[in-house]
Amino acid sequence: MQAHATVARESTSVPTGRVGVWWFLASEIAIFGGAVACYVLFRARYPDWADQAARTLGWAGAFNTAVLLTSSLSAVLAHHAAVRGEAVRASHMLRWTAVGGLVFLAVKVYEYAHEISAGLVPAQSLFWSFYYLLTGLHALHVTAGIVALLAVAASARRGHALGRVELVALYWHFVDVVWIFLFPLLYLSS
Amino acid sequence: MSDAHPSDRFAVLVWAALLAALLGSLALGAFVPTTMVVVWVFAVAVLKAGLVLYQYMHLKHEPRWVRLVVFGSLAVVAALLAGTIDDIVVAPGRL
Amino acid sequence: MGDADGGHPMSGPAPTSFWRRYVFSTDHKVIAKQYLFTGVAMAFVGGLLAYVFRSQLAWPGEPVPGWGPVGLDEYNALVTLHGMIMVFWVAMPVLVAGFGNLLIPLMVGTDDMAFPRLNMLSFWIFFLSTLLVVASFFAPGGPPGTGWTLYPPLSTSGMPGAWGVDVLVLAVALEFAAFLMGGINFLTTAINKRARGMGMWDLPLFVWEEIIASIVFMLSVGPLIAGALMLLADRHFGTGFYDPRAGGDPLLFQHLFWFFGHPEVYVLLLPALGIVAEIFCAGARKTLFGYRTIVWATIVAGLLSFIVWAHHQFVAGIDPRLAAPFSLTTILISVPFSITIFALIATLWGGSIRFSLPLAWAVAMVAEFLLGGVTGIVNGSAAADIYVHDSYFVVAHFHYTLVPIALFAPLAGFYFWFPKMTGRMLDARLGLLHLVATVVFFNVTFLPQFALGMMGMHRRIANPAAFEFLREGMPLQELSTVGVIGLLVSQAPFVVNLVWSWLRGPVAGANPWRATTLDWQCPSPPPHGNFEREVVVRRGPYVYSPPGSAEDFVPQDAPDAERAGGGAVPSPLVQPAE
Repeated sequence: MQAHATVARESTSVPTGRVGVWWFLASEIAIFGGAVACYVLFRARYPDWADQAARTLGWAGAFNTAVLLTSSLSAVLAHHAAVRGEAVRASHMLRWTAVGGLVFLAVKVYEYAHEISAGLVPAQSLFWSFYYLLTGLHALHVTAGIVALLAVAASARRGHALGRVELVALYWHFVDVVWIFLFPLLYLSS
Repeated sequence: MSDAHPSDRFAVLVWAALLAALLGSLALGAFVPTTMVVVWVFAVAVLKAGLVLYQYMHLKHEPRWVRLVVFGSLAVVAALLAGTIDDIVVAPGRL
Repeated sequence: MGDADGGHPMSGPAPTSFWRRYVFSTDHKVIAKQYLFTGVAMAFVGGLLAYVFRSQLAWPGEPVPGWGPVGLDEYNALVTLHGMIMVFWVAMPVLVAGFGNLLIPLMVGTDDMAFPRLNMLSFWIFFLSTLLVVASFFAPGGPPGTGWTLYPPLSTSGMPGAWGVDVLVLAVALEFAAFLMGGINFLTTAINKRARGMGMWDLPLFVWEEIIASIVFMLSVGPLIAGALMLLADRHFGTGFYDPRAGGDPLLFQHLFWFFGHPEVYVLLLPALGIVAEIFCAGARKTLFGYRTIVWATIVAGLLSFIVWAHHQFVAGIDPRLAAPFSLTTILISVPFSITIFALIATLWGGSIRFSLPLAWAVAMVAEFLLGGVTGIVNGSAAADIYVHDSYFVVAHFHYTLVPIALFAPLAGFYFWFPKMTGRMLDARLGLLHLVATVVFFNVTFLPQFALGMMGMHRRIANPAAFEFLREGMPLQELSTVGVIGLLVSQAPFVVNLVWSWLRGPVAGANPWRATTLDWQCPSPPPHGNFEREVVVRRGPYVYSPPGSAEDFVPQDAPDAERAGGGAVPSPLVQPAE
């Protein structure tokens, strides 16, 4: 028996996809927030961690911050294009955002290589354990974000599901916001 | 929705402000060698995050309950910090 | 996850292939049954583990019939997996995911969850985690014997080669991922897929309880996910997050664990109370007493649940100055729950009660839960807790809360909504036998444990006969074990009832309990897409026995003209749509 098919309608002014993403981001805030809170506690307990923080590559972190901020711009431009119905431009902008993510990861890999060759591995000391935990967790999110960006870009190009452009952009901005805090927390030495 | 006609020009302006804030906090770190710099750098980080959240993520257009979801989850993290700070930072190793 | 980002019809045509219909289904009712029956199956696994270690406690050293002798490491693994399975693979899938999936779309009057494919993914990730938790018992290097709390250093340097610990942590992580997806789905559905005319204050209480439980779960579990990553890093990458020799702190894990672990109790309790409330209203033919008061009290309880956790750590070496504030918040949180319980009892008061089987189960739930709640006051105050901490008094306390929550409430719900799930009634005489036997043996099992705890029986002792001061407690140990065996055997009538009634039970009809909420206004079992017409909600959820009406209930979506006498239904709950 086939029941009467209800047409999608929304009980609030926020589209259903966006409600889902906001709740998803809330759970992500709790995960990152918990990890960052643990780091902040130990950073306050051991003031001499400033010496370790001074050994991070500050210029690389600053460059990566600028990269992520710029990729957030292309993500928001993709969203605007999708709202105007410009599917090809939206798809292009998402791909540029993904390129930003790839540059970020490349720089991050360079940093890891530099640090590991200097003996600064996760087991070196608690500061470096936290450094790899936080940046690693963030890099995983960047990687997942790149995959999501490219998938949405591919379907957006064909004019499919343009509503998802905004959703993936929201997630990307969140990854950006996390880095905005991780950068001073981990790289700042004073 | 008030963002029915989103302005690309405004998004670029926000981006310029974000980069300026980044450069500003780097300059602060380089030229102001006091502990006050930490406060300033984090104030700038909060400003940057606020710009991304409110302008890029359109939190300013969302109803109040969506803002409550975001800031509520931050408040929960704050509760975790408040409850553990004494054991981990102030008076560790009592056992 | 953007299943619903267009204006196209939602649930599409019903799938025809066997696999898409019954196995990889996106239909919330099928997924609900998958969660419910996986949970019921795991309940028997958890119960059998309890039978084995309780036998060891009552007759130490003797081979357990059907199992053999119990080694000490094996004993620890049995206790660990019993706790893990009962909380994460029984209570969570049955109460939160099972009943939530079944009832939220029906109660808000929609065709399916907001993200049906995410919902299916959630179940299969959960199913994978179920296989892993069973596998952890047979893992190379030994099963996990850490206790369900996974405290370091036992879980890190204490069990270095035991892959069982890693498999268990992985299983828990996957389980969390599954329920995060489920929580996002529940929240989005309840917020954005309500029927036309249904405001938030028209939601049945069960939906409110699931909303608040999902939020509490989602926000409390995040830090523990980070903490679990640190635990695995400590085990395998040489880090020292929880190792004082490296500058870390084992207390950190306890804080992260209980920051989630205590709210988790309320994540389970809230849906249980929601089930009880629905059954009470239909059974008493009365509107829910203090609907808004209960919702607000539950919101307050949800907020308070984030600041009570350290009462689990009063003897862990935390700063004694923290004992007073955490005792205070812990005792404070009993206030909103007392309000809820009183409101539930007041719902029965003065009602014209139809004493059906689900109502009997629901009353049993409240009665037994009260014992657990009241003994919680003892554990919540630091001074009293230090005496009973980690003793069988605590074990008895949390079983008097969790067994009513995870056994009585779901069974009440099962007897109540089985007709909706299958279209057939369960047999009431078998159900009554099930109830009486379960109540008797539940108390036989756990009442003696209060006394054993006061005697000094520590919860990690595997052989009480080895201690002079515990020998006089051996008869109580045996009584408790007899209780467990009785409790397991008592479930037989339920299984028989389930199978027999599903095949041969009397046909139920759409609304056998003559209830008002939307879940009863669609056919039993509901077809793919649930409702045969578009639902328009016209009043609050519990309009029973309105004066001057021929029927003693008015469904939420009944047009006013259909009522004898006509006119608007007087109800304090009717709210204009948002």
